[in-house]
Amino acid sequence: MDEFIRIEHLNQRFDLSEPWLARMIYRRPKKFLDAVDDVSFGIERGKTYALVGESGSGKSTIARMAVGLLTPTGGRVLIDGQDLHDGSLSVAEQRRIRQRLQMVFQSPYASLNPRWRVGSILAEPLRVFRLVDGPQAEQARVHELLEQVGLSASDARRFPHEFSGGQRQRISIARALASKPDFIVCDEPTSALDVSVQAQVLNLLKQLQRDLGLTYLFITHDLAVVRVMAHRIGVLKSGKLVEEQATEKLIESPQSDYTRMLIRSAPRIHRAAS
Amino acid sequence: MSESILRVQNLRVVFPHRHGELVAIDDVSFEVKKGEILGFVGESGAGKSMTGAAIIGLIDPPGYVEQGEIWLEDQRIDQLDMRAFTKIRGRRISMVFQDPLTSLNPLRTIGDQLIETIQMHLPVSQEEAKRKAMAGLEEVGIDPARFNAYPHEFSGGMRQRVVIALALSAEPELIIADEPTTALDVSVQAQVLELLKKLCRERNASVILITHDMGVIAETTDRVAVLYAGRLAEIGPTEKVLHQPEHPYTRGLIASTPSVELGNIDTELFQIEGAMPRLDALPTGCAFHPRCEHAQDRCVEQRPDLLQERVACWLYADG
Amino acid sequence: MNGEKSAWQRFLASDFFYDFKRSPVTIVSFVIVVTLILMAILADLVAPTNPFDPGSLNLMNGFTPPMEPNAFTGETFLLGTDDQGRDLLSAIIYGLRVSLFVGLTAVILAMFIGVSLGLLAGYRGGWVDAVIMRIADIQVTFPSILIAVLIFGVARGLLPPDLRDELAITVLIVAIGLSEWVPFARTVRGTTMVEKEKEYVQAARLIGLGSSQIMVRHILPNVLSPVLVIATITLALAIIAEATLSFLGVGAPPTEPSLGTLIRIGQDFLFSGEWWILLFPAVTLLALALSVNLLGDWLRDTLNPRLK
Repeated sequence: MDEFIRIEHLNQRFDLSEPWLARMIYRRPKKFLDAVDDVSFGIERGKTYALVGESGSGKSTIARMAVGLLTPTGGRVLIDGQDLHDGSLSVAEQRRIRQRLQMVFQSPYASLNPRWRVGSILAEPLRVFRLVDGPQAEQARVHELLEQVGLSASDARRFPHEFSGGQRQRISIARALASKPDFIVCDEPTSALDVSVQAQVLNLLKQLQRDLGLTYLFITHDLAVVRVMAHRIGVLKSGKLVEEQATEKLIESPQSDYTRMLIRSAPRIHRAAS
Repeated sequence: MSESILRVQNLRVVFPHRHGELVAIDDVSFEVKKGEILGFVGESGAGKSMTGAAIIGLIDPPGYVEQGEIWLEDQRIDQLDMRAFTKIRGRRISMVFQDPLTSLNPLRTIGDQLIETIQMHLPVSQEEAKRKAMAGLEEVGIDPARFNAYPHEFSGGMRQRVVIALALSAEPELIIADEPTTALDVSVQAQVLELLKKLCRERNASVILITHDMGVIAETTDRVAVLYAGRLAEIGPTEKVLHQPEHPYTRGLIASTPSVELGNIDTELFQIEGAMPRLDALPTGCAFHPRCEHAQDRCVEQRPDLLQERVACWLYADG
Repeated sequence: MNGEKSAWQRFLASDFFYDFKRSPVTIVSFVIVVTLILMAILADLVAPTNPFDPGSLNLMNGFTPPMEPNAFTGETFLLGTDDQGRDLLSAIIYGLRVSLFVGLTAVILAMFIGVSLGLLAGYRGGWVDAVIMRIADIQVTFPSILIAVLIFGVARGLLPPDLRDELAITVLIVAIGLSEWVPFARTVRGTTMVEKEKEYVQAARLIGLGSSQIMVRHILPNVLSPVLVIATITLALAIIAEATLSFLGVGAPPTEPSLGTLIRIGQDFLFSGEWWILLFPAVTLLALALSVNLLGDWLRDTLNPRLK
C-alpha cells in the first residue's frame, strides 16, 4: 500500500483547568479533556479518507493536526514517512513539507480576508513559496488557478464580498491549489452551502482529485456526502475512532452500534421500502 | 377535504431600499389544513423564513407586508395591531426557532418559563399551570425533576425539546418551526423531528416546517412548498412532489441531494449551475430561467404563475 | 456589472456617501472641520496679518473691539485685537494651526502605540496580553490630563532650560499621545482576538507566514475601521487636552500661542470688559471640538453594522 499520510496514536489533550488561584483556593484538581484519543489511520496516495462524526467528536482537531496548525500532545503525523511535527527539522525542510499540505475551510465567509482582492489572496502562497518569477508569471498563474476552479480570470480584481458562497468556496480551493500541494484537508467544505451549490463544489473537488492526483482528508458530519466522496471512512466519537472501513462496506454493513445509529438517523428523500 | 387553519393569499413582502425596493416574497398563496404538516423548502434567500415571520407578524423593519391577506380560520390577522397580535402569538400560533437559546430566558428556570407562558395564555391557577408544565416536560422526554433547571444546564437537543414543550404549552393550533433541527447533530435531529411530529398529531395541531433539507421534508411533512427567489415554484403532497417533481428546480434540488443509500466514489452528483439570484438582481420572467436547462424565450419574458395550484413553470402550460 | 468605475464614482455610489448625504448635522460638521483645517494650513495666505511679526504690530491698536474703528488709528478688525494690538482673527488662525498640529500628531502617536500594543496583546495572548492590558488598566485610573501634566513636568525637568521652549510643542505631543493610547489598544485587542480565530488567518499560518506578517498584513486591515472612529473622537479630546494644558500654562509657549494659550490670555481681560479676546478663541475651540466629535459619532454609527 502506498500511503501518503499516516497518523499514529494521535492525541490532543486540552487543559480545561480553572485559573491557578481558583484551583488553590477551592482545592480543585486540574481538568483535562482528551479531544483526540489514540487515533491511528493512513490515507493512500490519490485517495479520499473521510472522518465522520458529530459535534465534539474531535474531527476538526485531527484535521488541524494533520496539516500542522496544531501540535499533537501525543503521537505522530507522518507525511511520506517524515514526522510533520519533528522539531529537529530544518526551516527549509519544514517549508518543503508544509508546501505539500493545504486546507479548505468550512466557512466561505471567514476563510477569505475581506480586505484583499482575490488576486492577492491567490498570489500570497505563490510568493511565500517562491513559485513564480515576476509579476507576469504570477498573474498568469492566478488566472490559471481561477479557471481551474471554474471562475474567470477577471475575477482576480474583485473582493470576496462580491461573490456568492459557492464561488467563495471555489476561491478557497484555488488558494489551496496555489502551492501545488499533494494533500488537502477539506474541513466541512460544503456544510455552509446550499444543496445545489454543494453538488457543484463536491464535483469540483472530485474532478481536481482525478486531474491532479490529490489526496484528501475529508471532514464531515454528513454520511450521504461521504458516500460519493470517500474511498474510506473513519467514524469518530468523543475523540476515539469507533470504526474504519471502505466506504460501501461501512455503510452497507456497519459493525458498531454508533455507526448504525448514524446511518439510520440520516434523513433521506427516498427511503427504501421496508 | 378537511378544513384549513391558515390561508395566505397573494402575500407580498417588500424591503424599501435606497435604489427602490427589494421584493422578498412575491405573490405567495397557500393554505395549511388542520392537523397537517406543511413543509417550506428552499435555499438561502428563497424567502422561507420570511414567510414564517410574515404569518406571525415579525418581519424586521423596514420590511413590511405590502400586499396580500393572511387568515387564521375566519380571522384576518395581517392587519392586526401589536396588542391584538400578542393574543394570537404564543396562544394560537407559536414558533420554534433554529437556535433554542433565542427562545429561552437564560436567567430563569425552564419551569418558571413554562408556567408563565401557560398562565399568560390560559385561564388556569398556579397549581394547574405547574401540573400542566410538568406534564409538558414529560411529554417531550425531559425528566420533570429538572423543572428547576436553567437553560444552560441542558444540551442543544434537550434545549430544543424544552422549546417545543414551551411552544406547545398554550395548546396552539399552528406551530411555525423555522429550521428547528439545523443546529443539532443528525442523531438528535431525528429524535426531535419525530417528537414534533408525534405531539402535533396527538393534538391535531398544524405545523409549518421551514427547512433547507429535502431529507427532513421527506421524513416529516404531509405537503411541501418549494420556494425560489421569493416565489412558490411548486406545491403539493410530499410523496408526489418528491417522486414526480415537476418544476425543474425541484427536480434539480432532489437530484443534487446526496443519499446515504445511493452512489459511490465514481458518482457525479447532479448540479444546478449558478446560484440563487440576489434580491437586487432578480432576472426577468421566471427567476429560475438562467439556471434552467429547459428555458425557452417565454421564460425570459413572462413570469409563470402557479398552474393547477401545483407548479409555476411554462413547461406545463397549455396541456 | 456596468464596467469599470473610477474610485471616485464608486465612492459617490457607496452606502457611506449615501449616509453622509442624509445627515445634515454631519455635513455641517464636515464643512466646519474642513474649513478650519484649510484655514490652519493656509494661515499665511488667509490671515490678514502675521501676529508673530513684531514689525506689523502697533500698540496703539490694542484693545480694539470687533468691527469698530480704533480710536487712535482708525483701523478696523473683524474680531478685534488683544492688549498688544494683535489682530485676533489672525491670532486665532495661527493658534488653530498649533492646536490642530498638536492634536493630530498626538493622535497619530497614540494610535501608533495603541494599535501596536493592542495587536500584540490580542494576537499573542498569555502573559504578553496580561502585562500590556494591566498597564492600560493602571493608566486609565488616572485622568489623562494628569498623566499629560506628569509627563510634561518630567520632560521639562530633564530638558536643559534653553531647549525647553523650543521643544515645548514636542513635549506636549508626546504627553498627550502617551495619555490617550489606551482606548486604541483595548479596541484593537478585542477585534484582533476575534479576527485571529477566523479561517483566513489559519490559511495564512498554514503557508508558514510569521506572526508579525499575519498581524500587519492580514489582521491590521481588518481592525482599522473602529480605530478610525476612535481616532476621530480622540482628536477632539486631544485638542481639548492641548487647550487645557496651554490654559494651565504648561503647554504651548506664548511665542507660539495655541487656542488654549489665547483663551488663557483672554481670561485676564474678561472682567475689564474686553470680552472678545476670550470669546472668539473659545468659540473656535468649541466649534472645532464639537464638529470633530459629531463626525466621530456619525462614523461610529455608520461603520457599525449592528446599529443599522
